[in-house]
Amino acid sequence: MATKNIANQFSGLPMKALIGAPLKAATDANAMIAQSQTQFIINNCFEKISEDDESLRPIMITFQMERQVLTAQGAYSKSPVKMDFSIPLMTLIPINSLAIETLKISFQMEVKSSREFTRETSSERQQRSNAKGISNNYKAHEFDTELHGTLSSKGKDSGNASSGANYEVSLTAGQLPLPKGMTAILDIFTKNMVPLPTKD
Amino acid sequence: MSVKIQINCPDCHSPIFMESMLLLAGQSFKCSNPECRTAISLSLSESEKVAQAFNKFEHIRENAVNQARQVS
Repeated sequence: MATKNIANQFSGLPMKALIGAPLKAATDANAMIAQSQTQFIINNCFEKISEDDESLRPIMITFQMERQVLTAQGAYSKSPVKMDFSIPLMTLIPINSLAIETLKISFQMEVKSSREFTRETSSERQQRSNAKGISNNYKAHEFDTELHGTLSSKGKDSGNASSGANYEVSLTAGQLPLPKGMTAILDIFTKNMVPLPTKD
Repeated sequence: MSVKIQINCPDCHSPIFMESMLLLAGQSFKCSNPECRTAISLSLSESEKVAQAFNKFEHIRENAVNQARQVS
């Protein structure tokens, strides 16, 4: 019953705004980053095939490759063989690193209710009785009796009852991997790297 | 800021790990496969093109960091 009352105290809270607003802000920011990233890839990693054609092709970057080869005698040659190979510029850019990696919204609310009570009771009773001739049956003597009695009681009860509830909402938004399309493009680029002998 | 880059060796397809600053400085990087005696380096004629791309990417990265700070 007490728990239910505490839970009712959360019903008026704008949980949607408290938790949803920062999450939405983060998603909006992520969307803006993704958009600027896409724009960056199109503008800087691709070029137009021609002025008349809207088609794009990747900008290629030439690397020099040197490797030692085995001679007829089975030893490595002293002068390494030089070759050129080209890779798309976009494979050099760590595209996936631009995103809000983790968002943690920690919302804590503590509601405590306590009740204290004190009850004091006291009673006092007095009785007086007088009797003459306590026993007529014997009639041996005559007694005059007088009884005084006092009965008193005093009590004190005190108690403390408390109950509490703690609500914690924790959201974690993680980074998504590269889209399959992007991975496929990068994979095709990587697999098609063919070294060519240097022109000179 | 230096960016870590990984590309596959054109010969054995093992990864070659590079750093953008060193790459632009003309340093060559060896293939991670000890059996493969391949080293690669960026052609001098391409340095400017790559440097421009890295600078623009760094600019976007800084914007992303600022936006993340605003959210938190």
